[in-house]
Amino acid sequence: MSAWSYVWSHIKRRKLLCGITILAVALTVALFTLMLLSRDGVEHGAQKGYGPFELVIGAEGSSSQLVLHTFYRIGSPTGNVPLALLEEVRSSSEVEMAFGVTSGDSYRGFPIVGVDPAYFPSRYDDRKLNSGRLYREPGEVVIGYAAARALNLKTGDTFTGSHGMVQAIEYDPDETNHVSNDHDDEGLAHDSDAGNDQDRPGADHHDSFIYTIVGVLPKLGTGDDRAIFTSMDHAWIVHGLDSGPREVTAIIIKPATLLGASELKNKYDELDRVQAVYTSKAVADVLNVVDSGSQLLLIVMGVCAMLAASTLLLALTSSMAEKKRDVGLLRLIGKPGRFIFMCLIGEGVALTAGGILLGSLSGRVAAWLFGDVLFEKTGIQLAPYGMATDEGAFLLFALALGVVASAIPALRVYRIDAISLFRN
Amino acid sequence: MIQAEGLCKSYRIQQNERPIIEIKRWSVETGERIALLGPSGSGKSTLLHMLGGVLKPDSGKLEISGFDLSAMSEPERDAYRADRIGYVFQDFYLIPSLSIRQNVELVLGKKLSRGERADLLEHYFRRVGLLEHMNKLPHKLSRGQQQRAAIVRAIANRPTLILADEPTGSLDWETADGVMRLLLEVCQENGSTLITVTHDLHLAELFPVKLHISEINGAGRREQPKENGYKAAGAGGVGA
Repeated sequence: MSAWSYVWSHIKRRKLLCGITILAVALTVALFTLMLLSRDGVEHGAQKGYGPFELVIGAEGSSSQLVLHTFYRIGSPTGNVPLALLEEVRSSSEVEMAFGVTSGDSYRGFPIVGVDPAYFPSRYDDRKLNSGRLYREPGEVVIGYAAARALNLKTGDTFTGSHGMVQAIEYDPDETNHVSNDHDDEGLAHDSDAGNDQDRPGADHHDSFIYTIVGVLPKLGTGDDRAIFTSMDHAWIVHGLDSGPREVTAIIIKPATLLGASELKNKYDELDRVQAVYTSKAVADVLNVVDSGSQLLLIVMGVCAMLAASTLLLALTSSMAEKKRDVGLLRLIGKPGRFIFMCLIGEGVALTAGGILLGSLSGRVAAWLFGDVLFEKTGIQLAPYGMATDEGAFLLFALALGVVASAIPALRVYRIDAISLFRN
Repeated sequence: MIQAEGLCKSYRIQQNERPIIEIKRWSVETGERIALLGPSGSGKSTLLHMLGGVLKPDSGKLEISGFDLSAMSEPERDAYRADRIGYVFQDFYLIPSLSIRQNVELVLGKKLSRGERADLLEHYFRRVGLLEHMNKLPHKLSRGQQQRAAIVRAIANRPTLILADEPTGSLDWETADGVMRLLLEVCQENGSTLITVTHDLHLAELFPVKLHISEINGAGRREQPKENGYKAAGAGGVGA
């Protein structure tokens, strides 16, 4: 008979306590798994989010705000810069490519971004649209994968945008084709206005302008999944800027060389009310802040892990009292010390391993189930099928913690004098 | 089978060494079945545990079936015990989470094939009348049945020596008689030597050899309690 049979018989005999212990370990591991997957999602999304556009020019203000708004569709824009600046940038020999970006309007919380359709093949190579084609005429839009899913929109649908960023709300398909007659002719970029909604009193519509979806983008794994794109011309028309001095919210630049990037940054950073930002540096700054938050979360999770280890320790300590006589007997019948120690430590190791396995699976199932919702709401993309960074080390650490928690009571019992247990 | 010479064992009690076993010379032949009698504290259980290799003598020589227990290390004595000794206790000490079949499997060596193992278990459980109960947990059985299962555990590995420490002490008289007879029979069938500690003189009568501890243990003789009501009968093989 193997030590495992003995361990398994004990676990079967104490189903409830063992079940609770496994659940405590599994819950902790699942939370850790989700946190590690989220952290990877944030870092991966942040690195992938700006593509080859190492430099951004926008209105003076927070560099993080400019980058977050331009690439990740988070927060409000810092303001606008003249369109003439885009032409100047494009004419520079240090620039491989540059695009103007307009933003400020939204549809049900998803930003409507004005950008040249050439942006898509330039950034995503030969990725094909899920359906339809890129926009050509004013009023045509392509919609990002996550936005289309969340809003239940498809090629051929029409909608009316609203001014400013509006929180996403429950989508009602019947409202998709509604058209109203309000009009707004303010500039392109505005502070976000979370209280606004086109269906609420005070909502600010561009009701004369109906957007028609002509294409749905594939899943790109970037902030573009959560945006609606149209031509810059259309954005200017919507805001009544088709005949005046035109502006863009940001200019995204792929520099020809690293040195060129530095020269461009220095040159445009000196302009009045304009800032030029290294995208990677701004993203790194944001990630550092996120990382500080993660550290705090890790401490909380560490406390959770200690609680789970304590549950394991309590469960094992209570089972050791039952095992004292078993150990004495096993010694008397001549079982080797290794077998006896395996019997003692095996239960804790098995419960820990079971909890780790269940928790790791649960974390992945949760990531798989809620990944799309999380991405639509926050832009964080979870990858449930692979191992997150440091996950292997964490799981080994958890197992080691379980072994230590099991070994403490096991050693106490192992040292007991077998004879003393059998004195009549 | 058993050869003991100059065997001593002491316990330290309140800073004092108190000798519990002092055997000058003692021998037991293979297949003997001995009822070991004596009052509490006279060293019966200590002797049993020394014969089982659980306790090591302080001095002297203890040789069983050619193995010198007094010279063996603890792991060697563990291995010796696993191969050659069967234990039966007053309170059975079956592991409560294991079926009685699994309790017996604990002592079976790895050399047996699955089929041989199954045949052997069936043979012994049939022999003690527990064949239909062998997959039950101990607490599902009566005390008599539990002790019969414990006897199967003691003999299943066909040990050369079976040590029983008051095996019927917690059973009613009728059950105790049946269990003791069973123990004697299976030991005879297996050719195992049996040394049983008992306080029950009626049950001791079932044994071919009745040995009072004081007949071999000098330490026991010096500190003989006054309420000794045992008789030292048929001390075959006693050389002290």
